[in-house]
Amino acid sequence: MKKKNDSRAPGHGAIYITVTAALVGAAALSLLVGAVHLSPAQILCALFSPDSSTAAAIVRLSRLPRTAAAMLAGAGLSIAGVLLQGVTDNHLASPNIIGVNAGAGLFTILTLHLFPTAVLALPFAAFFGAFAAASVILLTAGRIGFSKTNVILAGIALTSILNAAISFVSLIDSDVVAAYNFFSVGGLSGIPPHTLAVPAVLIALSWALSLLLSRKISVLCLGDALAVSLGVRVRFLRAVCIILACAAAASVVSFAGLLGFVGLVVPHIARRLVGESTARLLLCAPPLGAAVVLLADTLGRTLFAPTEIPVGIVMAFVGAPFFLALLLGRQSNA
Amino acid sequence: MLEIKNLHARLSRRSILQGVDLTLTPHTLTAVVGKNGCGKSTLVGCIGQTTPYMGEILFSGRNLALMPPRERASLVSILPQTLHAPHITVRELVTLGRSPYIDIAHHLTANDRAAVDHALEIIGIADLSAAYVDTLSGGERQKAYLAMTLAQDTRLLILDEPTTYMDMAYEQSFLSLLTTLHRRHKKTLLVVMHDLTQAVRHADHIAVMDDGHIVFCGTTKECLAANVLEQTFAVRRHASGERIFFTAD
Repeated sequence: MKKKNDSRAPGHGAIYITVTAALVGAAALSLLVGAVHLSPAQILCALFSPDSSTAAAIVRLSRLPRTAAAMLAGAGLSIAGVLLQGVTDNHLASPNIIGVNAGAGLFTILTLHLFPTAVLALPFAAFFGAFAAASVILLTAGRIGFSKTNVILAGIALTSILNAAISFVSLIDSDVVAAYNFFSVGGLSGIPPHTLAVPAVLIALSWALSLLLSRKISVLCLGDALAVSLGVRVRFLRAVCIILACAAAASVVSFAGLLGFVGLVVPHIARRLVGESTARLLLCAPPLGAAVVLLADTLGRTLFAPTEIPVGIVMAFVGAPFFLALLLGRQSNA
Repeated sequence: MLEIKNLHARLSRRSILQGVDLTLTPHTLTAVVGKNGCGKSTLVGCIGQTTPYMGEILFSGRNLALMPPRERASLVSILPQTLHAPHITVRELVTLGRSPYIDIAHHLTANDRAAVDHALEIIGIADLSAAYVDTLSGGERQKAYLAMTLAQDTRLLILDEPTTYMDMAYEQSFLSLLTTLHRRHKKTLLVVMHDLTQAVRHADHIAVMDDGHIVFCGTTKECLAANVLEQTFAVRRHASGERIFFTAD
C-alpha cells in the first residue's frame, strides 16, 4: 500500500534527463552495432564530415536510417498509446486494440493480392488502411456515443472483421502470405530514408498538437461529467485525440509494419515514472519509446547474428510478458 | 440564479424526470432528497448538460444549453458521484479547476495560482497539496475534488451525494465545510443527499423528489412543518433537544 508521505511529487526533471540520456545511449549503440565493425570515430566522421568511404556509406545509408526509423517508431506508437489510453480511460488501449493495425494489415494484403509487383505502394496502402479503420471507428462511435467503452468495443469488433478479411485473402492467394508475414511482425531493416519524411512530419505534428491539448486531455481523464463541467467539449476532444493517435500510429505502420506492444507497454512505464499528467506523459513517453525500440532492434540484430530477429518479435517477447504481468496486477488489485 | 422549468428526461425509453420545476435561492444550501431511482442524479446530469432533456434550465435568465461550454463552466461547477483517483498531485488536480480560464498555451496567471492556493486553504488540505490523489482516503479525495470545484470559482456548486463513501465523523466535518462555503464565501449550493437527518441539519432549503417530480420545495422549517419527509419516505421523526433525526417506520 502506498503511503502519503511517500507520495510527494519527485523531481521530474531528473527523470526527463535520464530518459533523454537513455535515448542518446541507445541511439549511439544502434549506430555502433552491426555486421561490419565500425569505431566511434568512424561513426562520428560519417555523421558530421562524410566522405566517400565504405564506413560513411554504411552509416548514412543503412545504420542512420534504421536508427531514425526505430526512434520514429517508438515515439509515434508511444504518442498513440498515451492518447488512446487517456481518451478511452482504458490502460489496455493501444493502436492494435482499436483496429488501426488490422486496417493497415488488410490494405497491405489487398495491395499484395491485387498488385503483386507494387512493393513501393505498400507503406501508402498501410497508411490509408489505418486511416480507413480509424474513420470507421469514429463514424461508429459517433452513432453509438463517444463513451470510452464504446470506442474500445467498436475497435475490438472492427479488428475481428479486419482479421477475418485478412485470413480470407490469405486463403484465396497463398503467394501473399510470405510477404505479409514479414509486414505483420514489424521490422526496421532496409527502410529507404525518403520513406521516413512524411511519417516524421505527421508524428511531430501529432506530438505538438497533443501537447497543446494535454491540459484538456488531463481533464477528460477525470471522467466525462467532470470534463463537461470544466468546459471541455468531450466528444470533439475525444475525436481529435483519436485522429491524432491514428496519424501517429499509421505513420509508423507505413514504414515499420505492424509493430505491436510499444503503444501498450511504453505509456505504462512512463506513467510509473512521471504520473498521469498528460503533459508529463507526452514529454516522457516518446523519448522512452524511441529508446525501447532502439534497444529492442539492436538486440534483435545482435542476439543471433548474422541472423536478424525483427524488432516486432523482440518487442512481443518483452511486451507480452509485461501485458500478462499487468493483467495479473489488475487481478490482484481487484 | 438557477431556474429549472418543466424539465423532462428519458433514459432507455423510461421517463425519469416528468416536469421538474425548481428555483434556487442565492447564497443558500438546497438539499435534494428522494428515494433511490427518483431522478436526483438525472437532474444533476441535466444541469451538467450530460443528460439530454426537454425544458429549460436558466442561469440568471440565460439558457445553460445555449451557452459556450467555457462560459457555462465559469458559472456552474458540478461534482459527480463517482470520482476517479488519478496518479497526479492534489495541487495538479485543483489546478485543473482553472481550466475554463486557462489559454491554450497553458499559462497559469498569478490569479489562477492564487485561486488554487485559496481553494486549498478554504478546504483545509494545503498540507496535502503535494500528495498524490490515488493515495488519499475517500474523504480526503472528496475534499480535494471540492477544492478543485472551488478553484473553478463559480457562483453555483452542485454536488451529487458527496458523502456517500465517508464515515460519520468525516461526513459531519465535510457538511460543516459546505455550510461555511455558502455562509462565509457566499456560494450557492445544490447538494443531492441521501441522509435525511443531515439534510435537515445542514440545508437552508429542501427539495423533495418522488417518482420524477419535485413534490416539495421550500425552507427546511416549512418542510418539517408540512411533514413532507415522513410522508414521502415513510419515516418517523424524532427530536432530541434541537436535534432532529429520522428512523424507518
